[in-house]
Amino acid sequence: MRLFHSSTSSLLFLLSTVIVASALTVVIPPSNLLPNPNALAFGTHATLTSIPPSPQLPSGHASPHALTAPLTRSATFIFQNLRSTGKPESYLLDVRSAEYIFTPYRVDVAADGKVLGVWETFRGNPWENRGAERYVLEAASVDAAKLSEVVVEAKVLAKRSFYEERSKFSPLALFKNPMILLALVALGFTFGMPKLMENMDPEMRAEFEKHSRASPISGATRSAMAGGGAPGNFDFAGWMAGAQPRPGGPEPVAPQGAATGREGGSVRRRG
Amino acid sequence: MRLQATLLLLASCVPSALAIYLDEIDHIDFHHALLGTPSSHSTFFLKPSSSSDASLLYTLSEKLLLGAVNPRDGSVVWRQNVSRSAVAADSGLVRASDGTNAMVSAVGDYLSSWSALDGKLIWENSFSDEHVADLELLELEDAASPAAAKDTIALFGGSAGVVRRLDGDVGKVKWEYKDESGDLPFQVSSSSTNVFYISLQSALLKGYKIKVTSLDLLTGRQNQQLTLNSEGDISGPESVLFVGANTASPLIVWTDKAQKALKVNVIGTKQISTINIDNTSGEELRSITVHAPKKLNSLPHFLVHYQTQSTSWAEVYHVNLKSAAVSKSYDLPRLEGWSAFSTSIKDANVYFTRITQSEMTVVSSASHAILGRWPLQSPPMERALSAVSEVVPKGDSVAVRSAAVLESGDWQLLRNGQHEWTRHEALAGALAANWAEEEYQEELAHQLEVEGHENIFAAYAHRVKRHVKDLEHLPEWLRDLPKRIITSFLTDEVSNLDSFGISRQVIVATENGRVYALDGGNHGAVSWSVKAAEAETWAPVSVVTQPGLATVYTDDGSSVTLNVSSGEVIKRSPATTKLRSVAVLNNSPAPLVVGIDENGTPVESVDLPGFFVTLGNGRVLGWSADNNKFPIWEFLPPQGQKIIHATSRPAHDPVASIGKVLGDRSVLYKYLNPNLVLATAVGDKSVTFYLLDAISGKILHASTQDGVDTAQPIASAMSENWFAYSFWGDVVDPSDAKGYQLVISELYESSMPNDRGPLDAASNYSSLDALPLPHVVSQSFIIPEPISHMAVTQTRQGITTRQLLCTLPSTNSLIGIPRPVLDARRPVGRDPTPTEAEEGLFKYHPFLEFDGKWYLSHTRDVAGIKKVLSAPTLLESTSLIFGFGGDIFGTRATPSQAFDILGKGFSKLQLLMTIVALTIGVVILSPMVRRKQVDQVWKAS
Repeated sequence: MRLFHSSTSSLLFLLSTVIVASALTVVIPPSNLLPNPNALAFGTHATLTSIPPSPQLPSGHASPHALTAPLTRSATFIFQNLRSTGKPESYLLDVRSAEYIFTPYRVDVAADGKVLGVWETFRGNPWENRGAERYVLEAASVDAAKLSEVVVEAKVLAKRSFYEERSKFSPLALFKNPMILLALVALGFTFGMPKLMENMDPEMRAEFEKHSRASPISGATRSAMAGGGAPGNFDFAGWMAGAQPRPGGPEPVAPQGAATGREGGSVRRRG
Repeated sequence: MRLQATLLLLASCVPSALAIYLDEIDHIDFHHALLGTPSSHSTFFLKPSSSSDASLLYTLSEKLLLGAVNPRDGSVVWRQNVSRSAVAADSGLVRASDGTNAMVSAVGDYLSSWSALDGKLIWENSFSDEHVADLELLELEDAASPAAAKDTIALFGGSAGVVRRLDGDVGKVKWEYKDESGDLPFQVSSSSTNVFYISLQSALLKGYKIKVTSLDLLTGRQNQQLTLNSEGDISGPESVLFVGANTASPLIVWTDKAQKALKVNVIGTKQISTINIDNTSGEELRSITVHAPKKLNSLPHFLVHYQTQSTSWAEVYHVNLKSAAVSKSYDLPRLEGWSAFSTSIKDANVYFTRITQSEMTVVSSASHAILGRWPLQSPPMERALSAVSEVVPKGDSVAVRSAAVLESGDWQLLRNGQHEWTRHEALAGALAANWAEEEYQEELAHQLEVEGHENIFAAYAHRVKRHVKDLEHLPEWLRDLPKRIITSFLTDEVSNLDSFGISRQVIVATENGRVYALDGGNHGAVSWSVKAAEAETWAPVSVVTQPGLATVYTDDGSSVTLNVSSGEVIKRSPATTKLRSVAVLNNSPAPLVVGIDENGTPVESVDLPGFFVTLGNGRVLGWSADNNKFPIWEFLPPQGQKIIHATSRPAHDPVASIGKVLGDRSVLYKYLNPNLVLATAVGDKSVTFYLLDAISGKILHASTQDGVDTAQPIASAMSENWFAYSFWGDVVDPSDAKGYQLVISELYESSMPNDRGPLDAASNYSSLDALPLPHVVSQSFIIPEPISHMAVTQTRQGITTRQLLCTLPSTNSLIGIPRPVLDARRPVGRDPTPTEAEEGLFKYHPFLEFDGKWYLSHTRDVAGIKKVLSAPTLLESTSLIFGFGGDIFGTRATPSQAFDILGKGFSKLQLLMTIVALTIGVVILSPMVRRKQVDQVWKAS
């Protein structure tokens, strides 16, 4: 008698698992961003979230409205316990991983626990705004075994980069610096010029020296080298601005005054 | 003021929100990945792969975390929280077998099988209204492929005992056997042909008979039933000492009530062997433990460990499986103090490892010859509660490593007597923590105070004297100088910034009655740990620190004061009334602590100006510090709402600027009220946030959100002139989105710039007069995951932009969302105008994806953080962060980049090389130039 009882009960149990629980399997396919889904961290899991119909659930039962499925060996998530809640539900399906960002899905479940459809969804958009369809229950198919297994593929959107790159010291970058280039050119002149001068024929040298004497740059350099500092009549600011040296006093710079006045005013007001 | 302005300028110049650099990992942050105290019955060494000889250490802890630890360095390989049971369960079971990459755990009604190498799920199953009483893996000797998944035999208790065989690959039930007799389901055991279901049948008068039912392995049919006459000895399940799992030790062991004789039965026979317990010590036996091998092919030898108050000894027995006879083989000597025994198996040989307070010994089960003996490095060792060992025989000698669980909750690995590593698993039960304050700062502060109060000449003399006295540190300083210079070039260790308060100690009080000090400058290492509670456990509510001292307040009103540098208990105060929390009044010299009882009433009144806001009986109460009889005001939420949480601005919350300068140079003045309270009240599918004034109890602002799942975490935080909260928001209206939401609200004095509202030029205001209401600007974002706890970074002067610190429980991370991102004035539906762009505003987008650069925990798996603390340092740019509750995680946040320190990005070597190159250049060029000048002078003349 007991034997009979136990065997029938096990049979019943097997049957009941087939009928009640409709499993939803989320598969992570290899993609460019995630070539090996098996390399995902052990803490990766998927959740189905929705608001419970009433806050007072029978005590001792976990809320069926935040279902969790851990990552399996085959890089899937299996929600086995999509039990009926007596009312159609619309869940948000998330794959939780710190390193990878997955597309959120919308999962509609019928009152008897059947998965009605899976769509992509967009965060921050109305819930009715559904994206690409991933699975929809076809009314014609009544095969119970098929109904209980719904498989959808998860989609990796992006990979998070956690770290800041530190700028590395490289000599090449050093030579990209205009200051360094200027210094190098100046150095080249200092060492190269006398050599060049020596190799010139005397006629050309005479002409060159005459030329350079007229130029203010070499004049300034020479006087700087002579240790006397800038000569009294050399308008350094004017030379920097590209103006020709003139013996007269400094030019008035009136037109710029109005533009800077506003700045000055606001600074005073803020202080 | 000028310094502040400069700092503000500096802070605004550098780009905000920066992630950490790769080379800063383990340098600025530390992480203790914890499992919780390992349980003695579900901890073992296991070789997860049949191809490799390497083994890992597995445990199912008392916190119901299943994890694998690398025995080499004590790092966690993987861990999973298996407490998903619908029925309450406080302990679990885990079983695995060598060479198979699968382990099965059971907690309550939830069974799961995990890959032992990487912690991925193999299958899970749950059986409602039942709980797992015992679990065995079927070890079949004649299995074709030894590495194949092994089926599980699980015994369920509940209304009736049920034995089920679950498939090893998918977890489906192969057969089940229901026991309707009403016996107490106890254990299961298996052999190669039978499954034995052991239950306790209540006898007529009192006590229990042991009933052994053997079931067919393939069908689950009942073959045979035996009842052992044990009713005189056994009064409950705890009376049975041991039930063996398989053919290696098919034993049921119990004692008589007087603990004079040990009774042993070989499962499947009716014969009971009685062994006299030879207790000559005269002391009462505290515990009798049976250690037997669990592996199938090992010799049927077992060890009985006797422990009295002061001594311990053991006896080794051999079982003849054919005749079911049990014979004593040898004794292990009686030693003073405690012993921890563990069993290990190599091939078929069984080894027993004994750890005592001074040495570690290994014997074989076959003979009493000691194969290895090692004195322990630092005797006397703390008492070990249980241990697991792995023995490797090398010719005549052996090598052994043992992982011992100590009384303090530490988990220690000893290899041949050498201490390898310690995991402070008790820290997983941290309930309260705080930063310690060092003593020397107090000394200086005191000296400065003296100077401030004296007349100018005396103060000058005092100062000169102080500086002369400081000279005595000069030789020491000079001695350290070369080392400091060299190390500053090679590394920039945290120690270089010690004087800026970067590496502070954290005092942590755990639920097992211990207090730990973690050194923030030394990777969070434990500097000391002491048992501070007199009882086994306690419930600390707060740790209050003052220079050199830390006081732990517990929920029964008692407190313990400890010395921060040594951990020595300085003072204890006895228990008074049951407390909910404590309030700290900043009063010099020592902070004043007032307990708040369960109803929200302060237990004492103090003669100081101050106000408390407390939670009690579902309402918010406001108290004056000098009156604990009647509250000044009460805030009762509307019918159907319940207050679950209240938060206020942090105690240290300086405001750098009272207004916000807009793009057109006008100012929006912040509503800065130091007495703000944000109360969270939940109703049926709704949540309301009330912003209250703490002095008058007036509601300044209230906002209600509908369609909220109140079972999901609802977190809130407040600082300066803004507050933030998050919740799960569901679809109420068809145009609603579904998801977790984060709302930021900013408070301003007026909606118009350059307008201070009714307060205008008033220098003072009173909460009791007509308090103007703030102008509230809010924006809400959809976020990808829940936030379980919120905090705000704190810096010394509040100039650095703040970060909202959020604990993400679903991805085990801690993030800091920069405030500029969470600006409630971001333009909606259009691009920002140039003036708005100048303010740093950018277009609002309803979905806020968490940027990887915000992750303070980067790739670390920071699990179970319940509370996050933030503290300022002497560097304005840097805020210290410490999270506890599950794992321990500490880091430094620089929300506006480290603008006041030269970080690793500043290459000192490059600077030095540039100087050297320039010097060389000058040395080479100067004689040339001089020669040229001389030449020129001669030529000119």
